Amino acid sequence: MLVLRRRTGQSIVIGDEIEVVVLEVSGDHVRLGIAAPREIRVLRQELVAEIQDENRRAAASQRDLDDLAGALGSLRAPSPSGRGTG
Amino acid sequence: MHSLDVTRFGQTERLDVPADEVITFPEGLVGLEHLRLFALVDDPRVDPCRWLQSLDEPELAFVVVDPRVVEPSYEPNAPAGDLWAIITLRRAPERSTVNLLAPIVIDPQGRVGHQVVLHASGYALRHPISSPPAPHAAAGGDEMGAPPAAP
Repeated sequence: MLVLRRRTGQSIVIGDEIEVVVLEVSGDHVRLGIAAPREIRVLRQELVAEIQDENRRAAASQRDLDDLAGALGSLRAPSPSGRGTG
Repeated sequence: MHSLDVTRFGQTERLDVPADEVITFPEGLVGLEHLRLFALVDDPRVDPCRWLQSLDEPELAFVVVDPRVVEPSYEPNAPAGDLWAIITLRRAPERSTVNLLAPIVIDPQGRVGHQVVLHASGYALRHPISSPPAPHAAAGGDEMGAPPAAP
């Protein structure tokens, strides 16, 4: 892994289009600014891990379709607030 | 034409997907990047949901729903297209959840799909399927970053 030492306000450039700026350092917190093209997905690693887990759980969960029938019942039945599509 | 055997409600069924109904996900789904080809399959038994059926792995299908059925005020900052949210079933069915944080967006032509991550949007990864509408949380993140990937 490449390790670089940077000060507040300094940045690193990844490829031609991605720039990461150190905005603020306070204790063990670092605020980073990231400039990247729209098609590059920039996310906190924990968020990616959570979504990944949820996708896998959703894929596995569809196997028990008795549960699905119950869940769909919740969607079909209009709630007290009047939602639902019938 | 893709022909595959899928399991629905414990029964194996033949599913034929015409070539023009194949949806390509160039990046796959988050954490399931190897899944590139899907089809949205109507099935009256799961109305108002549909199957997002993997064509790469026939045994793999997600149940997806128009997120506005669950959360009428849902207005994500996502590229234009049809929106679908993946349902995760729980053992107690009424506790099943919908992923409003990372919806599926399918381009208006119905050919290309993306799972868009709406970070710092306030939308939940596990939004209860049957609950009063959540208060609409505004973006609360302190990080800046690229907006959701565009097709």
